[in-house]
Amino acid sequence: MAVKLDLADIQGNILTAYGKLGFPKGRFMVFHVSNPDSGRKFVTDLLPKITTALRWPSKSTYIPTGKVAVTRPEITVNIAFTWYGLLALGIPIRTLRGMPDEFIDGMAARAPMLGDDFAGSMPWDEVWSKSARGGIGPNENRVHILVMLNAQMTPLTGGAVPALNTMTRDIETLAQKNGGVTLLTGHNQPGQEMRRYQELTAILTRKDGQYEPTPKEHFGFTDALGDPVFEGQYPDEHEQTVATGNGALDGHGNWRPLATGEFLLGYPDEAQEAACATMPLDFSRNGTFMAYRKLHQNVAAFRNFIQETARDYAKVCGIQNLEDARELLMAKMAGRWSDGIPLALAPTVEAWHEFQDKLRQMMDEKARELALMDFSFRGDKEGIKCPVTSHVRRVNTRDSMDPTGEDGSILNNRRRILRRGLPYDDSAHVAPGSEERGIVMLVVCASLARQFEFVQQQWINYGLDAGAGSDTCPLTGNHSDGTAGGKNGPKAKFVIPSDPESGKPPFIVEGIPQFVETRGGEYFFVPSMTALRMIGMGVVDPT
Amino acid sequence: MPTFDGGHYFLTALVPVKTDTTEEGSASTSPVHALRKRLAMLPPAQQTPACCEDQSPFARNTRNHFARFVIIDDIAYPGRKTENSIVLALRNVFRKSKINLVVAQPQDHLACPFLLFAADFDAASGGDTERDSYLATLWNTMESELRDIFSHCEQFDGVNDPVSFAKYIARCQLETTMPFNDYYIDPLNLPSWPADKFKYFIPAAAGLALLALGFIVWFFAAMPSIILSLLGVATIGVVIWQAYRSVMAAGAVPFPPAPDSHLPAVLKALYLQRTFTRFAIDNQLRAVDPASAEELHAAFGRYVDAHQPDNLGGPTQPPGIIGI
Repeated sequence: MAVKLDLADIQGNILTAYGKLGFPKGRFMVFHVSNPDSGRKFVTDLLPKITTALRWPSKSTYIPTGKVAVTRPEITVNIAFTWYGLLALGIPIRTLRGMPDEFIDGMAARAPMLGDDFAGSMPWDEVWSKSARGGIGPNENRVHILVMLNAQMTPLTGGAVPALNTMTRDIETLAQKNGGVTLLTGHNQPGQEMRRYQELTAILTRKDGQYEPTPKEHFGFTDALGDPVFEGQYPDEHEQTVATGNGALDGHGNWRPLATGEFLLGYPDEAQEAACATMPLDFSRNGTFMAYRKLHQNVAAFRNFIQETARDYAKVCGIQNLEDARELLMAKMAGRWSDGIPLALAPTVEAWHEFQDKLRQMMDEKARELALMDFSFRGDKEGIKCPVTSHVRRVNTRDSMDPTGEDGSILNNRRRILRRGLPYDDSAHVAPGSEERGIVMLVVCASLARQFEFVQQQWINYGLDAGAGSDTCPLTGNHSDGTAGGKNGPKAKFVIPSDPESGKPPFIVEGIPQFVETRGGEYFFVPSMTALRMIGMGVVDPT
Repeated sequence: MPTFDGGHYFLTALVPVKTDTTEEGSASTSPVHALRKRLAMLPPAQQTPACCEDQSPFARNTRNHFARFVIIDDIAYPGRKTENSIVLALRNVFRKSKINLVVAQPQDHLACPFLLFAADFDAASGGDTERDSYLATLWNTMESELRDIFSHCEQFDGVNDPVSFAKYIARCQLETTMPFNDYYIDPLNLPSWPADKFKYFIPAAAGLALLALGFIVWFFAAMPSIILSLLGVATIGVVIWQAYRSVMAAGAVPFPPAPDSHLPAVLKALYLQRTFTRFAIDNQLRAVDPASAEELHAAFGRYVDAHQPDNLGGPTQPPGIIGI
């Protein structure tokens, strides 16, 4: 019997990446609870506004919706809590102590392990640094509740629909109504203009006087291609189709959806164990964990680096056209070309152009998406096509580490994460000449330690599993500047292997600047609607 | 003989810790408490750049692959031996000696805490002289630490030179039953068992045939059948015994050493990996420019002169660090 999810009990942002499915605008608000009663009332008042996973008519994808249950909203509303937030809301200690260590620690305490302590790192944004200040001591600035709004866009202005402001006001009014719940502000670097909310927007393009969202991120790559697919996430007939390229791979090239328990608490996971479920069971069940990571992107540094390095790379790999060398270098770092075509399927500039032509001829969106996702790393152990240390091969190793040649993605299946969130661009609010743009990445998984933190520590900020020593991810890794006596070792480097038959040597890039900097964030618990009701009513009973 | 395997000697020693009260500063304490504290203050190897300023005393020589001290206070209590309560209740009905689940089962305990010392080091034959020479090296390079540690153990008072230390540890040595080799890169080319398939197959088949013949003859009620069957069973028994001995003998043969798996070679390899990466980065543009071929050749010559790849004793990475 396949898993049948109670969609009305699950928060909608777990199953769906709203940002790429018609809600390209976002606004995140964080609150502190100083009075448990008011905090619980706030949760109860918010409850009717929360967007669940019930399906609404789709207009932007080919994905069949299955049984349509609700009308499509203009704004989606979701909520999540830190461990200290649950404590402030009066959740019993027995329930709280059943929570995983990393969730109790919080993201700031885990910074050295996550590699967030790179050389020359800027302070976290005010709201997050104040929240983490003073460790476990009392702190009236500690983030307790995160409210996530995603909004449709008005194409004429490129702004969010007006309902976003209405919803924001409503929620703030609810927080103020009983006192004891405060909006925490400061989604900005210290000393810069105070930002009340974390504003998010897809990168837009303008066509015939109308704005359209693009799937790009600030470095210029097509982002958010593919996300793990798990049992129960999609209507039956569609599940197997989207599992191709996104699910688990056996040793014979067959794909299947991942186990539900990898992403939702209370279900069996890939090890046939029930993922962490603190008591009572219905408090955990249908909930999950989420890492909020505000990641600043040093766009100028990235472009300069590509510009300069491509010159040498062109010489070493014998490419005449500098533009081609830039594109190939970017692709080798990411594992995909800037338009999303996987290097594993199109390893050279010529093959890339051919693939582009092939995609153009495909009329069917479904076939196009499948073409970008359906690949494995079988037969490319040395990374001649797609470097073993490239970004996509680190974060989703697919069958790269198949231990026997017959077990497919077995060592990858318990390390998958759902990526939610959207880009942000606050450059208009900072001093001229400086930039503040990047992505607020929401990482959703059943175990932050086993899935998110493992990928971040072992695969992004270390290279041993890729046979690459201490090399970190060339795009998002912690790039040591090689300071003598520094704790992160010699200057960051990246090796682009070369086909021995070509007679060309491999290319080694040394001294990669820090491209991605963490600007703040926290670990959250995303409860089910049942758990939210219990939190609001103050009836969480672990006995 | 798993104490010696793959070119490495795996030393395991269990040394009894004293139990009389000892003085630590102005406080009285147990030797195992003082020992645990001394071990906690022993610096580990410098495994990360951020690790520590002090270096492990084991890094003072180039013989240690791994070395570790562990205190074993007592036997871990595994819980009561489980029994099926229904079976037990039935048995109690019929037996005189009743088993009462409320009465505790006997428990095993150690007479004193033990200090486990486990180390693996390079060896050619696994002989005692190799062990003693390793222990002598330890004494010569870290005598003061060893005195601090083993002074909390029984009968250490007479130990005052490399020879007596080696003797002391040898007295406490146990057979290592599970060695761990980590240096095989390529699959080992090992002989398959049995080397001669027919050596066991033919006698076994003959034994089976005799047994079968015995049954057939018995079926026709002829008298000599029992002798034939017994002969068949005996033949099969001998074959199984021989095969068992052969398997055990094959298992006792140590694995051959992995190529270049002794510590000086491992350290030199790490050193060359690091320096050659530097060389490759510095010269990668020359490598694709035909006009620079001579320069590249000369640069490589300088590299070889400076780093002497064939000379294990030459420029190399010191032990106990990760070399960056």
